[in-house]
Amino acid sequence: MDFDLPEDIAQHRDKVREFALKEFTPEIAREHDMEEKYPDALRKLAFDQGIVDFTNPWKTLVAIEELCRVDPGLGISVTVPYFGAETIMLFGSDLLKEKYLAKVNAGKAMMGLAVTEPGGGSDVAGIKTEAKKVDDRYIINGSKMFITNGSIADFFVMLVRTSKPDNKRHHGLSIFVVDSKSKGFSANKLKGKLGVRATDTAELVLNNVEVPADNMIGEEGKGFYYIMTFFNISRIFVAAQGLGVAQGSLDRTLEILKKRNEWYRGMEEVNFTIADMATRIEASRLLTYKAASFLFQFKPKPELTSMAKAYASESAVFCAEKALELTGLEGITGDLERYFRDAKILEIWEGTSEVEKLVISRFLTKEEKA
Amino acid sequence: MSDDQRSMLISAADEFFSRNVEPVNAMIEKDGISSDLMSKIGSQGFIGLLFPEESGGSNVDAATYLLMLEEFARFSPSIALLIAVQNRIAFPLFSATDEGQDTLKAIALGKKTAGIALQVSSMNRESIGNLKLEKSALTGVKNYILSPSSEFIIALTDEKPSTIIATKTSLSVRKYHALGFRAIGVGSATFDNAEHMILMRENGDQKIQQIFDNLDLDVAAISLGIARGSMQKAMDYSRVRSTFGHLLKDYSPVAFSVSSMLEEVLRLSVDLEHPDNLDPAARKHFKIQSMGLAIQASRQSIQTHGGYGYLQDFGVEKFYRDSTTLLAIFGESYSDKRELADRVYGEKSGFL
Repeated sequence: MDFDLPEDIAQHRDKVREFALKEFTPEIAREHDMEEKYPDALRKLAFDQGIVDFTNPWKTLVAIEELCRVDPGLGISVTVPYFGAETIMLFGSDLLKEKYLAKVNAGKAMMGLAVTEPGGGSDVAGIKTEAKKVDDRYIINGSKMFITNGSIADFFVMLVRTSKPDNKRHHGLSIFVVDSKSKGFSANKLKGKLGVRATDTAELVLNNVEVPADNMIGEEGKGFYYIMTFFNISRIFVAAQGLGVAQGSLDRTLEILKKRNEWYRGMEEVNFTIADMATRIEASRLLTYKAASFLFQFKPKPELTSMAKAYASESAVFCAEKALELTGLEGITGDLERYFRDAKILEIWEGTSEVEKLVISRFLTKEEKA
Repeated sequence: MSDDQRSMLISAADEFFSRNVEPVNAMIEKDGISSDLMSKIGSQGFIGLLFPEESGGSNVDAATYLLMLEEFARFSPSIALLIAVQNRIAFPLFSATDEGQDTLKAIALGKKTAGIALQVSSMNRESIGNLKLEKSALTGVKNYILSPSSEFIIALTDEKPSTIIATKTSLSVRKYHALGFRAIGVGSATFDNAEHMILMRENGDQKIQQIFDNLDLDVAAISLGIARGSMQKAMDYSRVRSTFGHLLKDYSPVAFSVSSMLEEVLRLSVDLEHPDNLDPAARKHFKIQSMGLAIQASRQSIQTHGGYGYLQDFGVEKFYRDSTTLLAIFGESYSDKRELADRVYGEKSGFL
């Protein structure tokens, strides 16, 4: 068993780290955090320099990890313009791939995934936004909440209800590509988030938005399965975000502790806390890479992916909290406090920790019954 | 104070903060506490709680004071902490001098406030800043001041034996973008021949340490207020929010964690009613436990609210930031744990 990354991936990791250390300066990170401003110039730069390379999922994973390690808000922002692309890649028609995905792959467009609704949260099957077929078009009405890239994306992959559910709530859902320039489409940027303030988050309102029938991804009524497939992929990248936040918290804690006086640095209680942080990071990394290795070989194990997402996210929160406990006043008034604010969302988005635990337990009990 | 009187006072605080603080919480987090709001709080007698009546205070007993702090913190941990600084730090120091006595009246009315330059034993002197008192000239920089925009900043000078002063003027104040307590802020101030009053001429460092030790129960009360505020919001939200066809409160992971944490808060709050029963070791432990519970409860409250908890509008993310900041300020360097170990063992311990 070899735990080393292949050489090309290791080299990519080094390249990304170098980029992040050079471009994600504390001043830029603070500015985008305080002003809640999306770093579009950095997105373009990262794209031009091949930092974000979606042709190889391992490269994507280590890039997210290293970028978030230097600054979570900026790191997530530059890796999220493709959010939801896998749905088109896996289930979309050639027409959709050419019309929409090609522009995203060329760095000329941004996209987003619109699933969550006000009052909906993790309950994906409870979607209320409706699409009604009229001739060769669908008319969409409803609203979406907490949508990443909501006020800046060119288009969204959107989950809507196309028919009333039968005996199962998750039946009758479909996904469409919805252009943000469409008539009747509006986005309200959400301000005042605790963290990841460089990322763009919005509420979307759809008032009789017309979408060509050709914009449906895959088959009608199978939207729920497509989205669940997507989550099984995207959750591994959230785990990578968690790894980055946790590792970055530890890096910065060690930097601050070097400046502390001798008795404090020498106290075993302090050193044990650092050891706990490092151990959780390493355990999260092994779990994430294991789940990723199955997923990237097209042999996904959703329960492993959920374990990785939940554990890495909780480790990010654990490390960010411990970092501030250890660094005190310097921590709460310096760059480290951003990690603390950014970490908490990882336990919420792409399925809360509670939902991940449900997924894990269902797989375990299913195996037991079998 | 009788139990009935105490209950009436706490109810009055609840009503006042519900009406006057809760609706503007987001604004004061952003812009600070307005002088108008401070005056209103002062006019209710909520600031100089421990001050004697001749200093414009309410002169309540220790238990009532702590329960009031807990109540304030349910709405605004920043206001609660600012009031604790006035009562536990400014009051004993200012009351020892004639000039200070007059100042206390203004503080009790909410016309003026005092901030404090924080001392952290694990940090080197250059990190904390230097303040020199030569003849009568006060010059230097102090970092990590709680409420740096206050009219008075209480600080230690560098000389040995150190002197405690209260500055009245500063050359400049820089507020940090701190994680928590944003309504009062943390920052640094530069002094150049600053006007000041001397509060204690000798052994200032020992006195400051003693004053900070006296804050243990205040920190515990504020922590419990944060925990109660967080859990109350989680409970309210879980009663109305449905997911997968059921109210959140019907799910065991939500109901069990909210109810057990709230129960723990209530159990710990009982100690606030009998502060004299707690010996120094018990006070330390109480503070450590309460700070931990506040972080746990506020984190859980965000989780219960889901994405909405991550937004400022729902008022729970502030509790998470403030509880962690409280730990960073008052629980840093494990000094409390060391002191607790010393007291429990009855000899020096836990120092390696």
